Amino acid sequence: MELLDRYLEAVRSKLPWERQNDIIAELRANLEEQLEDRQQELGRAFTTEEAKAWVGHLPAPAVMAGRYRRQQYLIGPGLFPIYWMVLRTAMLWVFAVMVVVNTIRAFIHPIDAGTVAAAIATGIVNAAFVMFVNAGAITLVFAAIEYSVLHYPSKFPQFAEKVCRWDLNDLPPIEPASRGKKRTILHAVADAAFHVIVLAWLLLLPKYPMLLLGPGAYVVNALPYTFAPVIVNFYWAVVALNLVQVVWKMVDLNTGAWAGDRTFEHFATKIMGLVPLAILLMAPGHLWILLKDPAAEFAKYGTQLDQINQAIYLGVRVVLAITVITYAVELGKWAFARYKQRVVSAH
Amino acid sequence: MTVAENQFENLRLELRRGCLALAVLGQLKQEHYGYTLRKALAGRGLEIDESTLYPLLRRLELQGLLTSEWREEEKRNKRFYRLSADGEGIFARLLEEWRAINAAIENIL
Repeated sequence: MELLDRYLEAVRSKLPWERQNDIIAELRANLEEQLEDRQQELGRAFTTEEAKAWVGHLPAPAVMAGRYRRQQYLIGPGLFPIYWMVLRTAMLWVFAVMVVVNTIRAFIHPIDAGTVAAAIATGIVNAAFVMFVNAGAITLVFAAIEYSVLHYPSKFPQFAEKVCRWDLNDLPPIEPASRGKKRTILHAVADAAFHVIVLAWLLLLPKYPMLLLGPGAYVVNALPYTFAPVIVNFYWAVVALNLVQVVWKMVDLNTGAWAGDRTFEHFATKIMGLVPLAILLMAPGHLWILLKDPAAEFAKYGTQLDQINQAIYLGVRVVLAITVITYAVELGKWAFARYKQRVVSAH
Repeated sequence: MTVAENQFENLRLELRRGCLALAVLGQLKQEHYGYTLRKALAGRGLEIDESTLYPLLRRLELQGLLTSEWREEEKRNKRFYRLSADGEGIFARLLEEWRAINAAIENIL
């Protein structure tokens, strides 16, 4: 039957070449006998439509041929759990490094406000590309290991077993119970008292700079430099932040909210903490240190002053970048913990 | 196909997959070629389609559990299969395993 011949040729084309003739010969014999039996039951040869229906019911040529191939995995079930663990860890690290690098780069080479969105989009695309390339490389390495273990088993005996071997001594300890301890009134009072002390210390600093610099305050005083007005703004922003925290904690102690969930206070304080840093960053002309007598001292100390201000500018941007990243990671962890809690309680 | 039907189909295929090799080895205590083996298994209640059975025979042969030879019968070249010596040993152990699992399932149910 021509249709059967065409079907068998389609199967042949998808078989491993070294076994095509043998397999097709066997398949032909079996299918032709099947066909004869069916025609004998009918008592006549198939019509064209019946022949089409009969060949049509056979498995697709690619399926038929595929089942003659050895079961092949790019990464087999023995190695896959290790591969998956390595891939996930690597992707997390690659992503984290890309975020840190791009953020610090953005602060070191500031971008115009109008191109922020484009810069973020470019950063995301770059990160995705780097992650894709790394995932591909890891997959290739594990595929090579799978191939080597499969084809040269004597050189890699019980590979997966060895990799998965574990030691009782490597088991981590149970986390201490203190994590579950509730906050006591003593903690809350001590916390509030500490912030009052910090506020008092801050308020005394202008009159008693040695509280910050120690005896070095006299040395600093003798230098030809002085703080720019932005430092004063920064100082008052820090004082204001601490005052807000003191008031908040006093209110909490008064209302009993000290024992409750302080997540909002925690994140609000951290965000407010960015304000003094932002004030520093927005210093007019990027000048934090000035000369006490510019007319007399610029010639001698001008270059040094410039270098000091540039170093402060870089330092402020890096600190702000690290702070933002740290807060973002903390916020992300908190959000994920809340999501996990919601999913677990739903089950 | 609904999700539930899909789930059942996947589990059913998994269940069958484990049993097919045992059924084929059991039937090949007598010599068969592909088509007669398929008919014999179907006659005893186990339908297997061509794309599963014929490749399975090749795989079992590659594993050394079957032997085969080409012979002419009724003017047609056919490949006859039967259990090898190793195949008989493996079949006996698989059958024991099958009976133990069956007994355990009966206990559970």
